[in-house]
Amino acid sequence: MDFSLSKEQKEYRQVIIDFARNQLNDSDSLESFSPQVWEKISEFGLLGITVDEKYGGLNESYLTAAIVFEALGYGCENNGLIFMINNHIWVAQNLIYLYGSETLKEKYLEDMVAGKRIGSIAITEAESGSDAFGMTTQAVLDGEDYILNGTKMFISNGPIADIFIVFAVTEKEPKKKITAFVVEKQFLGVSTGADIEKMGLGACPTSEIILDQVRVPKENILGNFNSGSYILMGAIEWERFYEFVPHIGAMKRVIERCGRYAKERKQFGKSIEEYQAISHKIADMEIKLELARLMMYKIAWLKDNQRNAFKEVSMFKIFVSESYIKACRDAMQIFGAYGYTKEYGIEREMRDALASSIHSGTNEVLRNTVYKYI
Amino acid sequence: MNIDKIAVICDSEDYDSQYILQLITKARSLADYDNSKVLVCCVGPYHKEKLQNLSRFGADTIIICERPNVTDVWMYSDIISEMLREHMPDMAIFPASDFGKEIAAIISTVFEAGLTADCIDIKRNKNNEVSFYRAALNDSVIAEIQCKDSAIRLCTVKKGIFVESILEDRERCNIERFPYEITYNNKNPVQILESKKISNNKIVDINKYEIVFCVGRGVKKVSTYKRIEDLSKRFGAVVAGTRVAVEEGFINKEYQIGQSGKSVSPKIYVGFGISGASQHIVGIINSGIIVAINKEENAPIFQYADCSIVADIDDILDEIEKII
Amino acid sequence: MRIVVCIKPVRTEMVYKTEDRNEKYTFNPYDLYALEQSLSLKKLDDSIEIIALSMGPMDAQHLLVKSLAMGCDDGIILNDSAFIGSDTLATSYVLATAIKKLNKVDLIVCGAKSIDGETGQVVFGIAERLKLNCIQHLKKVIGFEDDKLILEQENGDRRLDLSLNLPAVIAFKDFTLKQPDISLLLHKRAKQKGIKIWNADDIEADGNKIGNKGSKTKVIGVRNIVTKRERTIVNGSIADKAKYLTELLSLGSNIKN
Repeated sequence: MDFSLSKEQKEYRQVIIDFARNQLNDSDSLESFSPQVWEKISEFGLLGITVDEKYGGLNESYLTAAIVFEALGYGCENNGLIFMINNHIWVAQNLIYLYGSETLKEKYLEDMVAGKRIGSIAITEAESGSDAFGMTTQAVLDGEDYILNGTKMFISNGPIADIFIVFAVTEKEPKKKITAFVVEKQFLGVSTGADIEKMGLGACPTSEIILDQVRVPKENILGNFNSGSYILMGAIEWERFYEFVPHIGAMKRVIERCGRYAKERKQFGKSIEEYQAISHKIADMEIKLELARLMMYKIAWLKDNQRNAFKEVSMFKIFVSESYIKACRDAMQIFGAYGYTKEYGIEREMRDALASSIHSGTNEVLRNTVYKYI
Repeated sequence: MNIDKIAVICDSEDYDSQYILQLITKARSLADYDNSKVLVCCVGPYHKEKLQNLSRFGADTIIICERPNVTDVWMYSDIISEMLREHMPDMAIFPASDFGKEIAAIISTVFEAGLTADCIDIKRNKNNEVSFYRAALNDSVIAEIQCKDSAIRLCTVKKGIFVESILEDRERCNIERFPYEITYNNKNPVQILESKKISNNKIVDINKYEIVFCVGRGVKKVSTYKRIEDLSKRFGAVVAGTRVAVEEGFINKEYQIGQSGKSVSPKIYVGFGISGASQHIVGIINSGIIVAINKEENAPIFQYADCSIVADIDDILDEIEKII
Repeated sequence: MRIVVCIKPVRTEMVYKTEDRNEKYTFNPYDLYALEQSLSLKKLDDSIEIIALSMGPMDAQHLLVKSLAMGCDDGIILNDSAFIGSDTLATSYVLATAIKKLNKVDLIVCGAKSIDGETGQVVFGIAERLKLNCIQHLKKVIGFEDDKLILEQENGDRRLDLSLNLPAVIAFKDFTLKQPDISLLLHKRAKQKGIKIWNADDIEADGNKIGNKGSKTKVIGVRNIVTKRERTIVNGSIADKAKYLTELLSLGSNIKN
């Protein structure tokens, strides 16, 4: 088993860290979405990293993409921005790429890879989060189109997206079935609610999506009719992997910061790193970082070899999110009062981190999932 | 290999500047090792007293090409090259001024001769070889360099490294006029379209100050810097800085001390918040008394300082201001 | 118009001491500045051809790839075991010989000096070998006027606008530590285009003038910097320390030459 990175992967890593440091860490765009920053990211070529060249992508492997996104998480301090990018790529753009018909790909893919149209996924509703299948948004056939009605909640990228992957109920009896539709914001009847203010991840806008008699052509069905659950599972798998890969990079950044601070900060005549209560915290972060990375390599390998990784990503998500939250919590403790101030950015990292045990499936539900696989 | 003649190359019409006298003094001490001769090469108007001054500091022979205002580096190099070809010194010392370094680089190429840049010392050893010493950056070391297979050994020496000293009982030396036919023709002169003075503050020569204050990474606030500046005015000191201070915008690049910048050898040097990175230490090693103020008691600079003061910069400035 | 930019690869830890970068070699910060200035010329006139030239180990070839990704038309690495151990004299010989091989070069651009050698000698060495005029201490390129290059030079406290006839050699004075923004797309395309690798035979170099053989200086040894001094640690309260310093300075400022 060769764990070494290829020369190209190493180069990519450095290129993206430099890019993130130069362009993505502007403190002005931490709490809100910036179209200028989005343009830079599009020009950079990040969006189509695993997409074929004929749509403007880079055609890289999932492993290379993982390495790139880990590096992004390391170099870019704007976790909300990364969250927004991931939502666009893995659960919108790439779903069209992997599961869409040629028609759909031709309609949307190139624009999405070029960043001209932003994507978003709409599964969750006010009354159905973990219980995704409890959704009530429905799609009814009318001639050659489907009419969609319903409201989706907590939709990341909602306010800025042009393309939504909407899941709606298309059969109630005997067994509930859902279908995935590609819905354009410009379709009549689509509207977004007010921006939802969150604790963190400010650069990723979130809102309700309201679908009022929205007419969607048949060709916009993603995948097969009544087989939306297949697309849903796929989406969840990608989400649980790539939305958490950057946290590994973020953890490395937190470890470095804590290490530097613990060396410089002196109390009672010595650096606080000499107190085990402090150094052990950092050691634990490092342990989890390394383990998370190994898991990342394995999952990337599975996907590059066209294998199912649903169990693995669920374990990965639980482990990474909890490690990341703990790392931030410990960092705040290490930095003491400074960590609690806004100036140091630790509190923002903490606020961003707390979302990770909630989105993409709560860790509680995910533990059920893992158990089922044992 | 025998060293019979050591040449000092002047880089301007001001051929008896303090800088050149420093080099002549050094050449003299190197030559005295085995009765070699010191040759000084000048380009500029014949000025009797200036030339005699060169003699007082150690020149045995002075050759002067009487051309006024030779500012073209190619012509200047051509003149020096001819002088060197005729007199064949074994070694030539150039000042490490901008012009001096350019001439040295050109001559090194013309003669395919070894050139050591920015020397901080030159020594002759028992094998009758000459060793040139320069700081090897970032590595906190001093490298010893020798020439090999080189008809003439060249070096540029930093300003303020050697100290000029007049010799007693010097015999008047030989002064020769060097004729030069302009064979060199610069077909591609540069045209100056516009010339502007840039900063309001005059750039001073920090080597002229006996007390030098230096600000480093530990000086973070503009207010702290201003207080140090005020303090410097009171004691007639100049404020210089490390590369960090230049990057922060406190100090003009011309006042950067260290390997990439200038060297100073004042009577008193005071480092404010300087950690003591080797590149900076190199620039101050020949100072009289080195005082270091830093709040980190393990800062490397304390190993090289004569007086170590562990204190917060703002605190000590508070106390000093009370005293004054 | 053909421009050659000379780039020296330097060890990454020399430039970035606290950062962990995934590359053994990085751009000499002075050369990176020079490269970016040269590329800005291309914006004025797209027909300008810029070639990045570097003498260095194969570990440094990614810098040439980066140069391509940044906008250079070609990247050449001069690599040969015979080049190893070159001092500034041998280096200027190798670079000048490679430039002669390139033919019809209008402008050669260099950084002020390298961050590891810091001699600043190679620039004039190249100019002398190619018998070209050389201008240093440049801040930036302004543009072209009747086939002449207009440059801004800063020397001491004067800023000069200069007009230079080509061909010539120029050197910029500043450095930059900010890594260039390179998109993944351009990087990939640069990799696909590829860089050229030239050895001593390719440039028809005289074996006696390159590498160790062609060097006229050698490093005999290195020793630790400066002898440490006899230290006096000033103790006491902060007021005591301030008093000590003030007295020392008062004494010092009265010292006459």
